[in-house]
Amino acid sequence: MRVEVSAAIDELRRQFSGASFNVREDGQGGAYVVMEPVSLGPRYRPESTWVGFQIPAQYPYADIYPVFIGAECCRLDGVAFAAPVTPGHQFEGRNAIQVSRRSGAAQSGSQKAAGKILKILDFLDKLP
Amino acid sequence: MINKCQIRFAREDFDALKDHLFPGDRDEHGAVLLAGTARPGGRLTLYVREVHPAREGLDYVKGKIGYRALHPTFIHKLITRARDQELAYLAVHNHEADRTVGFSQIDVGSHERGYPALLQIARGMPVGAIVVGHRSLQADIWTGDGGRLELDEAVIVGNTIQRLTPSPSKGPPPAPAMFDRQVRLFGQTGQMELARCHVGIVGLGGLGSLVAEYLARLGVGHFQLIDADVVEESNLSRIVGASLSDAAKQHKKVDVARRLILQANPRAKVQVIIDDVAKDSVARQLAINDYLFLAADSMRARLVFNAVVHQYLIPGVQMGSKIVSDENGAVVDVLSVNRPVRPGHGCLWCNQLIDSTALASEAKSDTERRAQAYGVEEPNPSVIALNAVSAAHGVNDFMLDYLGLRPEPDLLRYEHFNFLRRARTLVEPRRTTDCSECSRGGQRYGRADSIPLPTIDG
Repeated sequence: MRVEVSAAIDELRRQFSGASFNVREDGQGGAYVVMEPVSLGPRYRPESTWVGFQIPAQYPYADIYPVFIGAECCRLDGVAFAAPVTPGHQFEGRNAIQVSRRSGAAQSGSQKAAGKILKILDFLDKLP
Repeated sequence: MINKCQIRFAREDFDALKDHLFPGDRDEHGAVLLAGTARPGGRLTLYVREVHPAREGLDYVKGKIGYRALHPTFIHKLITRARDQELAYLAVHNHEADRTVGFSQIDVGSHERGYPALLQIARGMPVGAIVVGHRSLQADIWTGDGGRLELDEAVIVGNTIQRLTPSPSKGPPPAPAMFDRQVRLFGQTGQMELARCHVGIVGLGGLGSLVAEYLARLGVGHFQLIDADVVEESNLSRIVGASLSDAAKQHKKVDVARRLILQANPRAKVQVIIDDVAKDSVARQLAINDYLFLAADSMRARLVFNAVVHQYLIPGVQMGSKIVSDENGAVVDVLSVNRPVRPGHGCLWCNQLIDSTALASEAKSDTERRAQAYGVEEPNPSVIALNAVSAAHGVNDFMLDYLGLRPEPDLLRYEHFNFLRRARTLVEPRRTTDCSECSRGGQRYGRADSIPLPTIDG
C-alpha cells in the first residue's frame, strides 16, 4: 500500500474513531475501505450504515470516487434517491447505494480523504 | 566504472546563477547549489533544485589561502540543509574563461582539505564544486562511497536545450551518407548530438509510431519505447509500419515500432518496455532519457510524465489529437494539440489537464467501471492525418530546440490546431506559484530519487 493511501486511512480512523474498518489492498498500491457504523443523521432510516470506497494508488491526485453506503438506507420523508445517488450497486460484496460526487479539491492539491467523506455525508444530509 | 557525472539545470536557475557570477566586473563570485541525485544508466546525475547566491563580503569573503572563499557560516547553513533535504551540496565559483574551464591547484587543494569533513556532515549525499566559465563548466564531485567524479556535461533545460562541457569536444566523426541532406541544417555536431540522444516515447499507437519513425529518420540513436498494448486490426489505419499479419499475430505495438525504427536507422539502440508507464518500476526508467514524448491518452500516464519532467528536469511534450461530437453525433471540434512541458514553467497538473476523477476511474477494472455505471468508454474517433500534425510539430520542436537551432523564446506556449476553424492558437500555460508538481518550492522539483513518483505498484 502506498504511503499516501496508508496515511489517508490513518486520518480516517482518527476522524471516524467510533467506526470499525475493513481494509483490503487493491493490488496497485491503493485500498478498498469499508467503515461502519457511520451516522447519516435523523433524515435516514437506519440512521447509521456502512460507508465504502476505493482510495486509488495515485491518491491524492486521484479522487475518491464514487462512495457507497448501505443499500438498506432510505429517506425518512419517503423521497426516492435520484442521480447522483443511485441504488442497485455492489461494493465489496455488499448491496450498496452509490453516491457520485466529484471532488474539486483534488486538483488544487487540498483533497483529504476524511474531508471527502465528510463532504459526502454533508451532501446527503442536505439533499433536497 | 563511470567516473563522470552530469548536472541538469532549468534555464531560469542557470541564468540566475550566471547573472550572479558574471555581473560584468570580471571578478570572482560564489554561490551554492543544492541538487537532487539519481544514477540513471549508472551515471551520477545532479538535478539543481536550489540556487543560493553568496553575498559579496558576507557569504563570499577574502580567502585565507585562495583569492576568495565561502564564509563558514554560509557553508554550514547550506550543508546542513542539503543533508536534511537529501540533496547534494555544490559550491560554485566562476573563472573569467570562455570555452575551456577547470579548477586551479588552489581550488583542488581547498577541495581536498574541506570535502572529507563536508561528506561526513552530508551523511551520504554527494558534495563538490563547480567552476563556471562563460561557455564552459567543470565539476569535482565527491560521493559518500569514496568516488570522485568530473563533469561529462551540464544540460540546461529551457524551451531550448543547451549543453556545456569543460572544454570543446573533438570534432564529430562524419555522419553516414543517409543523413547528408539534414546535416546541411544541423551540422556534423548536431547529427552527433542526435545519435547520442536518448528519447522516451510513451504510447506507440497511431501518434507514437509516427514520432518513432520521424525520430529514427532524424538519426536519434537511443529509444525507450513504452506500451503494453497489442496491434489490433482497427489500429491499422494509423499505426505506421503495422500490417494485417501484426494484428493477426497480436504483435506488441512496441515491437512494431522497434522494427520500424531499425528499418529507418539500423544503428539505433531500442529498448522496449511492454508494460504500463504508471507502474513504479517502469516510470523510474524514464529518467535515463534526454527528451520525453507522451503519446498516450491516459490520465495516469500524464500524471507520471508530468512528475518525471519536474522531478528529473527532463524536457518533454504531451501530444494528442481529438475529435469532439455533440449529443446528436455532429462533429463540433477537430483538434491536434502539442503541450511542451518544461521544469518550472507550469505543468499539466496546475493547468488542470489531469482529471482527478478520470484517475480514479483508471484505477478500476472494466468490470468495476461497468458496475459503477461509469460505462466502459467507446473508442474515440482517430485519424492518421490529425496525429501526423501533432507528431510533425512535436518532432520539429524537439529537433530545433534540442539542437539549439532557434533562440530561447520569452514564453513557453501550448499549440492548438483547430481544423474546423482553420485556426492555430498559442496558449500560454498557467504557472501556479505553489503547485506541488512544478513550483520550485513544491515537493517535487529537482528532487530526483529522493522522493517517490506518483505511480502505482509494480
